[in-house]
Amino acid sequence: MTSTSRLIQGNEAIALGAFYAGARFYAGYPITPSTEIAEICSRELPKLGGTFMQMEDELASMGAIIGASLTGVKSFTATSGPGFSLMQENLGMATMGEVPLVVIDIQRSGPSTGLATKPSQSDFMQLRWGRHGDQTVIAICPSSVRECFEMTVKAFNLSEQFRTPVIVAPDEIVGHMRENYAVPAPGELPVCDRIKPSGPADGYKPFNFEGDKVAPLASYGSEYIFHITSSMHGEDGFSNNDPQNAARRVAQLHKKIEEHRGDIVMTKSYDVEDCDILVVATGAVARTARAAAAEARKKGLKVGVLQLITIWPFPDVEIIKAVEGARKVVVAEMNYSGQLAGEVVKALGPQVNLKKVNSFNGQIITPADILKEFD
Amino acid sequence: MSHATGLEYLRKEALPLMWCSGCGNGITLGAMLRAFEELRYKKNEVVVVSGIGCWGKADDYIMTNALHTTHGRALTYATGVKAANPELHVVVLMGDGDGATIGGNHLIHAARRNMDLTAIIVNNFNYGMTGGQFSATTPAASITSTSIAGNPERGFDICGLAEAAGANYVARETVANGAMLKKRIVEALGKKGFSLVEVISPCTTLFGPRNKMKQPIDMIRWMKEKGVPRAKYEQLANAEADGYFVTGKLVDKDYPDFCASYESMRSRINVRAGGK
Amino acid sequence: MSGQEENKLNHKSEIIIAGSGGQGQIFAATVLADAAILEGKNVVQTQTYGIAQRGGFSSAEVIMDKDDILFHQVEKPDMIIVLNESAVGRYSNTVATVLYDNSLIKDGKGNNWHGLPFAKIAAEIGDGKVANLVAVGAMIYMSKVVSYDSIVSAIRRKFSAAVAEKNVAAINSGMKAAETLIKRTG
Repeated sequence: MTSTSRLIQGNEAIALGAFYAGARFYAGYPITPSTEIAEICSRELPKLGGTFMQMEDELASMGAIIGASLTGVKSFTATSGPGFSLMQENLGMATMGEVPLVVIDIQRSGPSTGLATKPSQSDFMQLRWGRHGDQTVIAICPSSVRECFEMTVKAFNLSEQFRTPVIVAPDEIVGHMRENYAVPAPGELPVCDRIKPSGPADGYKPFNFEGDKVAPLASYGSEYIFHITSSMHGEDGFSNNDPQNAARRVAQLHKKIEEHRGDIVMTKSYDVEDCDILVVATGAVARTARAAAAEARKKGLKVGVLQLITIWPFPDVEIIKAVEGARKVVVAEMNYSGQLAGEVVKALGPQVNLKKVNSFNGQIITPADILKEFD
Repeated sequence: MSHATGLEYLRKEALPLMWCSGCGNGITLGAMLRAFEELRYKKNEVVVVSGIGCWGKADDYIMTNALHTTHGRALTYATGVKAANPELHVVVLMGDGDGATIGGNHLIHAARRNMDLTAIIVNNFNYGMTGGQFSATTPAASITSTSIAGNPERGFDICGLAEAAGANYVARETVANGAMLKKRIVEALGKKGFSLVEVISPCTTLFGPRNKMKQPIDMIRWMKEKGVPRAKYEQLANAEADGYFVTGKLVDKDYPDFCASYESMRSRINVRAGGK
Repeated sequence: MSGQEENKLNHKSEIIIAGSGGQGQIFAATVLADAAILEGKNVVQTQTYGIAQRGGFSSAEVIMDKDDILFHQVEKPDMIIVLNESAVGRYSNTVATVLYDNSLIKDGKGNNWHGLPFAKIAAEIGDGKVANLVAVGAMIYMSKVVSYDSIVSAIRRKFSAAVAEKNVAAINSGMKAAETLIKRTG
């Protein structure tokens, strides 16, 4: 621990991580349990030469950060369930327009207003499938204050690199947890910026539908003039209804992420090499799982934990590898339907010996809840 | 002196225009592009932000930067563009469904915030692109595809709404007078703070024929007759009941715009941070 | 660091501060966590709260450990501070030592419940709002989860001199009250 280690809340670490990554524009609407991020941005962004805007709703917040990002300013918003639902339409526009930005969704208990101050992990499917139209997305779930910071920086890097929205979705426990953490000095963590065009301004095309490629993105106001549209469009950014063009466009939106999953998918494994039982978990529940595994190891049970950091694209390859040799998989998550468990079954096949541990009352999963499934 | 044509801003390869014959969108587009030319706007310093609807397709014909967004949300995108780069000229193109109905809340707040944007709302009193359903500006009792026996709701006064919400500049003109429309757009673009030009425009395929204006010319005659300056409107005995509406410049003031207010707040924050 | 010998530096300690919204539980927990960080410990501080800004049950937890902290919720509290009646029921069966505010709560719930008048003491030293820190003072005197010096440094780092002294006075009063209590009860 360095001398600068101090008590930092998850939400604060997210805001600080965003600033570290170069974010200078925030637009949002207050909602528990994400509001600390807005409050910090309102105080700090003006000092950094950036802008904080409190919008009239979450639709406006998403619209504003898309607009701001297209001027070349790294932009983000933060929200929770109900607000995240409102963001979906414009989030789809960010995907279609290949606009780099970061959305923070502090997951709280639902459905609807639900238990507004209580944690959950029930937005996994909305993170992936919340928008109409076929598209893909990158979503990340940190489990500690350190990961809140580091994964927010990573989220900005991925969004800039792949010109895509990236969602960071800690559960309320992680967003509100405080831990000792030393914020890295500038330069300690890599920070990437979007590639800007360098050729002649005349022939600039804001899109490239060649396989998994991503076109350089100019900024409004630079010498490069460009169109971005929510409608189907060609590489020049103008409307285009040709079916062949549409097919290339939609495929590229998927391929640019799928074919780079190695740069995107992050997991952490703990004692999985020799494990008989593999626990798969994410966010705060990954901590519970590790505590349960440590307890089980004391009793001689060989339990390993695979912590999913990237949720989308789903770490199926990593799960298949980690489960090798194990006789049982336990998936622990804070929702009723087993949103992660379903994906694990998809990866491992319906014959897998899988036990689900679920909490859906706003209360956290304890090590004892998971230990029960080891017998 | 030669008159502005606006041609340098027009994307000629996209012609002919997609709009119905007699539609006012072409006149409005021409007025706006001429206004750009008169103000000597550089194409790379303009961002045209449009929503969804017939008028929202105008970006297809424009050579400046453009951002064609989602239905009703154009003002929110424009707010982000302007706040992040106040040097840009940001023009927002919306229809009555887009700007005053689904996006009504954003209109109120963009005006309240006094964002330095120019909104050009083409009001043709119905949803043209989806086949002519009633919108928030469709007058009461009008016939539309979802009000075959007459609209049971009242129409919005877009300009009154923008004025009440705090816009610095508000004007209403009709496409029957393109030169005046261009003049208002020039004034609006030149105004710091939120400016709005409501353009009364004919929907010659849907709204007109369903409401006893079978030919495009009938709609032009209607707007020429009913659109009157404020002074005349006030002299009329039953102006509102008789379907008259005010044209001209309705609001012109100079309340500080969002970016200016934000900069003063920034200096207060910096003074505090420095004084720690 | 004085009082080091009494300080349980090397094992995990867990504290709960409970009451109703607005009593400063989270703030008190962060001061305690700051003090533990100064002692080179890892900390996890969490809270439970409702939708009201004031009132309703609310609690803050602190876990302090030289090792990494995995599970983030207190499982075996070393001590629980109960600041008002609304939180009493939650802990009526606990085996942990409970320090409760007997100027606001009528009775304890067992031999492990020790009453001290935090709110009254805070009012006596001129600021009713520091009852939370009076309680922290008493708690660290009894539990030794962090040293007095660490708490004082944590407070001084957080506040301007004048505010810090008021808060340190609250800690001192709490410690003194706990000392008297221990002498009286043995």
